[in-house]
Parts: sequence; C-alpha cells; structure tokens
Amino acid sequence: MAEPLIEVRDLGLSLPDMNAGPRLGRRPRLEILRGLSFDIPRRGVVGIVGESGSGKSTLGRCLVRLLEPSAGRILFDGHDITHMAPSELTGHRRDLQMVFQDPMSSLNPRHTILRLIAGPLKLHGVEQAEDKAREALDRVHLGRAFADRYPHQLSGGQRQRVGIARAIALGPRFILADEITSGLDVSTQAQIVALLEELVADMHLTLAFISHDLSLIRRLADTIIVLKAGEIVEQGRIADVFDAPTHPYTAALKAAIPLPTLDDAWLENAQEA
Amino acid sequence: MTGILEIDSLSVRIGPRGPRILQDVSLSVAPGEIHGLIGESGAGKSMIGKTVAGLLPRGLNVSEGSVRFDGKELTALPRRRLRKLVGERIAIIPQDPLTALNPSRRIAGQITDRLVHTLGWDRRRALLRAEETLNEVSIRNPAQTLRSYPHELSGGMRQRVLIAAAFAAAPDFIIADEPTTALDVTVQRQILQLIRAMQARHGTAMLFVTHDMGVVAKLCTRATVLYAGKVVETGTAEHLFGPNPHPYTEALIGATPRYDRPEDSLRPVPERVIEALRAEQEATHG
Amino acid sequence: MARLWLSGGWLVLLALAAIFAPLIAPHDPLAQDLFLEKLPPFWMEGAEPGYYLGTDSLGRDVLSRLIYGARVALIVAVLAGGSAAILGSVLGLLAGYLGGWTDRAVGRLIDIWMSFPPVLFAILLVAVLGTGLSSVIIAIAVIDWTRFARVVRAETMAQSRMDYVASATVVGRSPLGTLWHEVVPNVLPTILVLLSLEMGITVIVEAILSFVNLSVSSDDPTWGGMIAEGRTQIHFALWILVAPMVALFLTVLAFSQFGEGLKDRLDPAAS
Repeated sequence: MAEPLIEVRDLGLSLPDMNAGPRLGRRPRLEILRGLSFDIPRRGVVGIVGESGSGKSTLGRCLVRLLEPSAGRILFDGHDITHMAPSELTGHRRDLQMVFQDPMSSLNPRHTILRLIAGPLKLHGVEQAEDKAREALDRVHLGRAFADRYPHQLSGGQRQRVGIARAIALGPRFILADEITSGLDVSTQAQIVALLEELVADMHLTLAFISHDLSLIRRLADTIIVLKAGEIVEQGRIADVFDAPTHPYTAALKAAIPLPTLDDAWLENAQEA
Repeated sequence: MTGILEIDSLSVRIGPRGPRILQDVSLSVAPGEIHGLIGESGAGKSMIGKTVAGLLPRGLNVSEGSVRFDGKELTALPRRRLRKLVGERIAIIPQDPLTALNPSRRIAGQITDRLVHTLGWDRRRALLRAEETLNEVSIRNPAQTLRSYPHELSGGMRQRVLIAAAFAAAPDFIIADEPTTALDVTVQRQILQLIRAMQARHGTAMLFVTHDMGVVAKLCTRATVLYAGKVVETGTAEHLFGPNPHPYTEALIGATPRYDRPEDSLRPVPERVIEALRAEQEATHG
Repeated sequence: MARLWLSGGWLVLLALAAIFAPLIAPHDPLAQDLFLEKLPPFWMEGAEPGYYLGTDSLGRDVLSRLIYGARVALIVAVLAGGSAAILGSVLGLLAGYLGGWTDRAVGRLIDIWMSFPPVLFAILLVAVLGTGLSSVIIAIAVIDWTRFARVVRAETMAQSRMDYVASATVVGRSPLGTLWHEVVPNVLPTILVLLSLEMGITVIVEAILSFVNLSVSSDDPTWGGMIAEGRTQIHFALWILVAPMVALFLTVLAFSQFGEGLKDRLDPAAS
C-alpha cells in the first residue's frame, strides 16, 4: 500500500490561558490537543468526531496549518509542514484546502461570488481564472447566474456550495470540511453530502470530515477518529468502530443519537453525566 | 376530542396586508400529550408557539382564525389579559440556555420571579419550591445552584435550570422551542429524558418545536408537520413513522442521517415531492 | 435615508459656500464700518438692506464672516480629521491584525495618550508649535488619532477572527495581502463613520482654539472667534453670538448624522 497522504505523529497544541494567571508575564498554558497520531490514506475519507470542546476544529486547523502545532509533526506527502512559515507554505496551499462551518462568515461579505472563487486562482497565477471559477460553480451545481451575486443574497445551502467551489477550484489534493452542514436544514444537508460524495469520487480527493454527528461520518468516511478532551479515544475502520466500539465514550455518542424510529426505551433509564 | 389547546384556521401576517407566514394552521393538543411541531427553517414552527404565548414580534399579527386555550379564546384577549393568563398557566422552555438567563442575576431570582410576581407567592415559599424543583431535575446541590450565576453552570445545567423554572409554577401547558438544539448529543439525550420524565410526572401538555425527526420519534405522542407556513399533516408517532405517512414527512425522515443504515438515509428531498406538496397546498389553501 | 440626504445636503452647501466664498459673500468680511455697527438681522427693526444677518461691533457683515469662517472650519475638518484618521487607522489595523508585541505597544501608547485631557493637550501643543492654522491641524491629528486607533484595532481584531480571513490564508494569501484585501474593506465603513464624527469634533476644537485666540490670526473670520467676540455683546446684539453658534451646531450635527446615515448605508446586507 502506498504511503499515506498525511501522517500525524504525537501532535500537540497548547495556548496561553487567557482566563487565568497574571496580567503580565507568562500565563499558564492550556493543552488543547495531546499526543495525536494517525494517518490519512491517499483518496481516503477520514471522519473526525467529538463534542464541543473535544478539539476537533483545532485539530482541523492544524492539518491545514492555520494553526502551528506546539508539539509533534505533520507530514503532507512526505514534506514536514509542521512549522513552515507562510512563505514556505505557499507552494502547498493549493493542495491543502478547507471548507468552513459557517459560510456566512467564511465568505467576505463585500466580494461577489465570482471574485470569491476567482481571487484565489489569480493569486496562484492560474490563467483564465474567471472561466475556471465559472466551471467550479457548475461543478457544485450552482450555475453561472450566481457569479455576480453577493453572499448575503444566497441561501445557507447555496453559500456552502460557494465555499466548496472555492476549495475545489484550486484543484487540491486534500480538503478539510469542518462541520460544513451543521447550520443547514436536513434536506439541504442531504444535498451537500451528496455533492461532497460526488466530488470526492470524481476529483480523487482526500477528505477529512469533521462533525459532531456520527451518522454523517458513518455515511461519508472510511476511517474514523473519536476525539475527547483533546485526545484520541478510539480510531479505526468505520465499520469496525461502529459494530464494536471499544471505548465507552464512542458507545455513548452512538447511543445518544435519536434515530427517526419509534423506541420507548430510548428515553427510559436516564443515565447521569 | 377537545384539546387543552385548539388552534383553528390560524393565519399570521406581516403587517396588515403583508404576506402570511402562517396560513390556515389547525391543530389540537390533547391534555397530557407532547405534541411535536416539525419543519425546516421558514416553515413557521416557532411562530405557532409565539402566537400562543402572545410573543409575536412587532409587526406580526393574527389575521384570521382562533387560538383557544382551555376553552378561552386567546386572540380576542387584550394584550395585558393575555400576558397574565400566559404568566399564570403557560411556561416556555427556550432554545438558547445562554441568552435565556440574565447573566448578572443569580439563579434563585430567575426561577422565583414568576412565582412571586405573577402568582403572588411570598419569597420564602417560592425559594423552597425552586429548591424542590431543582432537586426534581436532578441538580445535585440545589442550594448552591440557586446562589450561582448562569456563567458558573455548564450548558446542560443551564438547560436543567430552565426546565426547573418552567415546571416550578406547575403550569398547565409548556411550549418548548428547540430546547436541545444548542446542546451536544449526549447532553441532549439526558435533557430529553428529563423533559419526558417531568412531563409524565406532572401530566403537563406540551408543544415541542424541533427540526429533528429523530427527536419527534423518540419524544412525541403526536406531531404536526409544517411546510412554508402551512400544515402538511398531523398524526400520531405511529402514523408518521409508520408505513403510510405523507410523502413530505417520509422525505424528511429519509433525509435524516442514520448510522444504522448509512446508504439508505440522507436522501435529498425529491423535487417531485415538493412540487406535489405545493400543488396540494395551493388547492386546499388557495 | 432622509438624514443622510439632509445632513449631506447641508455639508455640500457649506463646502460650496467655503470654496466660492469670494463670489458669494455680499461684503468683504474684514471691511469695518463703524457707522454700521451692530445692525440687526433682516427680520428685525432697524435692519439695513444687504446685511442679512446684521453686523458685529466693528460693523463687519456677519453673514460674510460666517461664510469665510466655513472655510477655516472645513479645511480643519478635512485635513485634521483626515490626518487623524490615517494615522490612527494604520496603527489600529496593524495592532489588531498582527497582535503580539505590536498590539501591546500600540495599546500602551493609546492608554498613555488618552490620559491627557485633550483640550489642554491641544492648547499646550499650539502654544509650543505657535498659533496658526497648520498648528491647529497638527495638534488635532496628534491628539485625536487615538479615537481611530482604538476603534479600528477592536474592529480589526473582530474581523481577523472571522473565517474568511482564515479562508484567505488557506487559499494562500500573504498576511499583508489578507489585511489589505479581506480586512480593510470590512473595516473601512467604520473608519468612514468615525471620520465623519471626527470632522464634527475638529470643528468644535478649532472653534475652542479660536475662542481662546490660539487658532488663525485674530483678524481672519472663524466661528470660534466670532463667538468670542459675540459674547461681549450679548446684552446689546445677541445675533452676533447666535449666528456662529447656529452654524457651528448645524455643522457638527450634520457631520454626526451623516456618519450615522453612512453606517446604515454601508452595511452590505442592508442594501
């Protein structure tokens, strides 16, 4: 088997604790992530699941190097990108893309859709950036009529399609999707998931899909990482982890999902946190 | 069957002649049942609860229809009488436990306000009841919690406090407006379990607004499905999750993600279902 | 919308009056005529035709002096307000975006600066620099940049936390490119609104400095100077005091209302 696209070894991140310690001098540090090790295989989809405060978004931001880890290392296609400066990262930026949770805040409200998608292409010296941007709009089934609109004129689902178009337009090898459906209605969510599956298959993408919803991850991912309080409590092939979770936290997460089926027992025997 | 809440052909408009955000809505909540209101954003599900509670935002008005609570017509009541009736008999569990509590006041005052100011209890008795109710919602140290400020409690604890505040005055009816949407799934399950247990113990009828078909399945006795401000259907949980629900209901269930059958879930709502639904609504509501 | 047009209309009128003062003013603002001193405005008894707002204690035409005074007021508003805006915004943007020691340095500087009482600071500065219009402009810019720096820094910090800034980084924009292309367009409306308010403030500060005779030479007509002179005649000829005060009041009000109107107008979601 070929070597993985992304290798993460002993990754850690700590930040100064803004709520504690003296106003001047060194603050105590908060450990957000601790000792994370995993691989993301080429053209694989990894699901990262956890509840609020688990560090899943922080981990995602380390993977695309929006944050600099304070321990361990991240190899992308064999290159150590753990501590690369912005100028060194430029060469890798086209390969490492991200779709954000809130498309309203991740799309600059003052730019048109066309500019939002074509801008990054121009930045990387791509010829005919605007044509390529229109093609990307087609790929996400939005249509070229949207090119001249502004983000606030779009619905939530349409905005998220723009977010995806912007990421795929650069022709990346890796895309990080951070809770990209959590603000959407279920019917819109289903459409976005279908689109994502289509793009992953057609464009041979490697995808990391961050979500609080195990059901979504079960559908999209090949492998899963379960995070709790900044540590991996369980990881493995998706079917294995679902069929026989080894960690009680994974089992609790699974049991807490209200499936749309009648089940009187689900609300009985209240267990305490 | 006479429900404790009977809504009949209710329409709510923006301004006197503006568009209708609720149109021809009829539903009935039986005593002791949890009645789900489900729909996607813009379906008008929160507006129904707001109409009942007299909390419609400025500019929105009931233009047609009636809302009867325990036999009394609410739409005909002057605003002050409505407020008084709601204060005495109807409680609300809000969506966001963070903004629903005043950050600069202790929990005690926020639970006893209604008891003291609306129901005219003396403070001592109100505090005792508050402590009792916190006990009921499984808060371990009620006395200490009463002295706390909201920011000292976790999200799940705050939602428990709000549930306690709703049940403290022994209301006849509770409107829960997406009370678990902001919570993690494991906390959501505990809160739903708690709401179910409290509701069963007190026999309180409840209108439960949600966008999650899974929550309806687990919690509700009956539910009303809404689309674009109009009722699609009302049915028992057995009907809605049985073999023959309305095609739109079936599509909403089909769009819900399910880990137990990943390939047979997350189905986008088919175009034709929406078109047929629109035609149907056009025909019945004009 | 109405207030944007009303306040904008007044400011345009004022600007036209200032630019074309020699053509519009009915009289030479400096021409004294002691036979015509303290003439009342046109609606009062004893008014002289041609002197619409009357004359002051030296027989100078009040309306003409008001029109020439608008020149000084607007020059100060544009130059002093603009300089304060540029200086403060650049420092605020850098502090808010770069964070770290830049932010701490600018933050301390703002704290220190703001601990001086502004009017006293201005008087001190003008006393050191010497009186005159350019000193007034420099003094205001040097003092009032903190108004911009403080607000722009906070706004830049808030904008920098938005995902579209992270998004720009992910697509490969350089840090300064991100600041210029992503952050600045979203902070600019705030700067423009502040600038409008600041221009109103500079008009007042200039009037105060003229009032204590620290602005342009005392012969040149300024609203503050006119108020200072009018004050001595308050029991004999109230209009000499009231006319410049009304002009000052309307102008400051117009600037602040224009700023408020601009704020609503520049919200991309509101259009």
